[in-house]
Amino acid sequence: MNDMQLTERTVGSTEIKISARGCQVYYGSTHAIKDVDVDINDKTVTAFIGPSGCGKSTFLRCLNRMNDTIDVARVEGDIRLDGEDIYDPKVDVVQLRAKVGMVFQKPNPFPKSIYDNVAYGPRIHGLASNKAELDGIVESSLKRAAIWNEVKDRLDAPGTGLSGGQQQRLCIARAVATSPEVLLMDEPCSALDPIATAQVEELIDELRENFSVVIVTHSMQQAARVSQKTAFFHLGNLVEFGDTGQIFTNPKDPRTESYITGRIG
Amino acid sequence: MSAIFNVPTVLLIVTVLAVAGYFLGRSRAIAASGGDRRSLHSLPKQHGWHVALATFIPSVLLLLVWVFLSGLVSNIYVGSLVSDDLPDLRLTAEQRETLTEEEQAIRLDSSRRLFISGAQTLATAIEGYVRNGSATEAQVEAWRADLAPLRERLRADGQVVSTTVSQGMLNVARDLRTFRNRMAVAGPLIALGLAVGGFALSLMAINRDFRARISVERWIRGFLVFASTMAILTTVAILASITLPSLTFFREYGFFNFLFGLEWAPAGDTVGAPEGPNGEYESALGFLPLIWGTLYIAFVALLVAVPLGLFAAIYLSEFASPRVRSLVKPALEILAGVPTIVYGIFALVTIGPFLQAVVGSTIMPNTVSVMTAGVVMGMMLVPFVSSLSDDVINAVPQAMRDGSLGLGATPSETVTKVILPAALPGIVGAIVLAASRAIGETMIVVLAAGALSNVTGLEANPFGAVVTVTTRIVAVLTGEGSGFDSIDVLAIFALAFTLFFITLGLNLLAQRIVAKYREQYE
Repeated sequence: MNDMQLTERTVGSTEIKISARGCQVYYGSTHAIKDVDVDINDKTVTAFIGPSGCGKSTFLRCLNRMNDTIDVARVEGDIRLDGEDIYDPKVDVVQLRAKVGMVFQKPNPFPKSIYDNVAYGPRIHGLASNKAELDGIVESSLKRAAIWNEVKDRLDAPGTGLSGGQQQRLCIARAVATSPEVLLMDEPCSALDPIATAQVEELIDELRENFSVVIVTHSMQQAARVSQKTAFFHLGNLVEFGDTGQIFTNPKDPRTESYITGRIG
Repeated sequence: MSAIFNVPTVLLIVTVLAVAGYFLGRSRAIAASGGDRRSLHSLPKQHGWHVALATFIPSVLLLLVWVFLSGLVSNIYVGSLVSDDLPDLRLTAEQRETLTEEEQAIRLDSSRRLFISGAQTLATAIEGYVRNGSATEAQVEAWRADLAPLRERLRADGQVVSTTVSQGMLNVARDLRTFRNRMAVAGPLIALGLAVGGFALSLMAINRDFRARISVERWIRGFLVFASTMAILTTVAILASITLPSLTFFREYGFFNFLFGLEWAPAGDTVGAPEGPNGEYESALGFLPLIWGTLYIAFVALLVAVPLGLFAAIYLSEFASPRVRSLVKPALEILAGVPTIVYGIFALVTIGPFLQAVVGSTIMPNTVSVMTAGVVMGMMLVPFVSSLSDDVINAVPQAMRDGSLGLGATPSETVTKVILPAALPGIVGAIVLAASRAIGETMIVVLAAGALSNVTGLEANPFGAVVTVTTRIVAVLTGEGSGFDSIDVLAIFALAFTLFFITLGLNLLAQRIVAKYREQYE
């Protein structure tokens, strides 16, 4: 398989799901994100690439206000989900996070059974009115995360007992179970081996049918394989944002070109 | 002569010798180098240390071991002096006829023990008498069987003497005293010899190639090993010192009579000589009322400490701002350092009267009660529980919180559904440790739980006074009167023994739970 193959570049939808304008993030006195403007399309995989410490994860965490949990972080600017300002004081951060799910760098299943891991979100949001409905949500989420066949006989086994790749797919199932509209993935494959990575990437491509997916990755090959839109961050600035094919074959900014050809990073 | 060879003097001499050895060794090494210090294998300083340590450590170690073992050795010696056909130990004809063989053996054994402890006390008393200058050695040799006046004379001099003194006991005591005195001189003498020998040999060994650095490292390592085993040895010694009297008590009184007895009413029987009819002890020494009081108070204490401590820990680790945390956490830890006697005073003068005023004196006749002691002990344990729980809650990885919050859970949902279940084993461990402290706690219950010397049955009223294991131990061992030949005093050792194993068991349990928890995230 050609790592840099750029097939299927059709963007699923041109409808804008999230739009950020003039976004600034400060960690104490450090200016981590400088004036970033991005539009995330619906039913599209958008990749954030860039060298370590460039702010791509920080920006990702702005999109579901996970930066709120860090005391010293301060976010400024305008980020809208479906035209609604998510940093508006009236917005309920709990509802926001139900709509914007997140998968983390390291698989972090709860020390509970596989079933309870997936049922966690639906339970706290009251998505199922009875046990049968909850069973249905758990099953369909595990199927969507392409892990159902591996775990269907041991739903009561602890989630922490699965392999790394299975744990990460379990975490994806857990995020999918709350039926979010956007799925944020923070380097979801960095702790996985190549086979598990391939499984997760395949899964991301399938998830595109239902969700808007934003993925942060260190691997340019991964960005090229799974995304339709790519944003390149450098030193807290959004350097270039466009169709993945264009970014990788015909970058406009010299810094983007240097990065994707391996001269900076 | 013997005045020089006591432990403190020898220790002083050895210390002076070691300090001198350091300087002598150093200068000898410098001299051996012939002006070029680099030709030495080790630094002059290390040569000096080697001499000092070779002088000091073996001789001091010997002294310590000697002090510990000489008691044991003289016990064995006195045992060998006492033969079974001593007139003092013979059973009466009546006893030989009426008692079974097994009972005779028990009688014989306990009267032998009594005799030995009497002889030991007497030897100590005579030694003290001579030390005070009340008699010379020759006078002591001349003492004969006018035993009752002898006892009075010793008592008048301030010595402790047991009630029965016989000629046989006096003979044994004299031999024992001579033996003890010889031991007391021999040990320091050998230690001094070791020090001088080590000093001379190590000084002579100094030359250019002598590997003093390696020797010093070895001495230091040996010393560290010694230091680390001392604590364990002390525990063993504690256990040994309470085990023997406890076993004697169990044999005399009956293990199950003790463990399941519902009454605690000491009557002052002498060991081996039951005073009740049917050859039973008049003292009722049942464990149940005491452990009931202990556990009841511990239960109330945990009822107070666990919720408060746990909620404080959750607040501090999950909700408090860094500012609040930096103020409250040290404040809680300071509370943990308040002496328990202060808590006891607080219970006695403040909480007790307050509770009595609230519930009325029909339900709560005294200010001392289960609730008084339990509530205050609970407050004492709050920082203990919160600090341990805080540690285990903080050990739950941040990824768990992120995972839960990222799914749209509220902070309190995250705490109850993810963090507490994950931290539960550690929290249970903290609670078990707190329980073990509550059971062993002494000062608060001495002041605030009640001080009855006789109890029957189990007090159910939480506002009634109870007696705990620890208060009984304190009361009997600090009280006047009863000597160690009383069954009631032996029972105290059995209490301490049982308490030791209960808390040991709880601590082991807690350790296992905590260890199991640790495995989960590693």
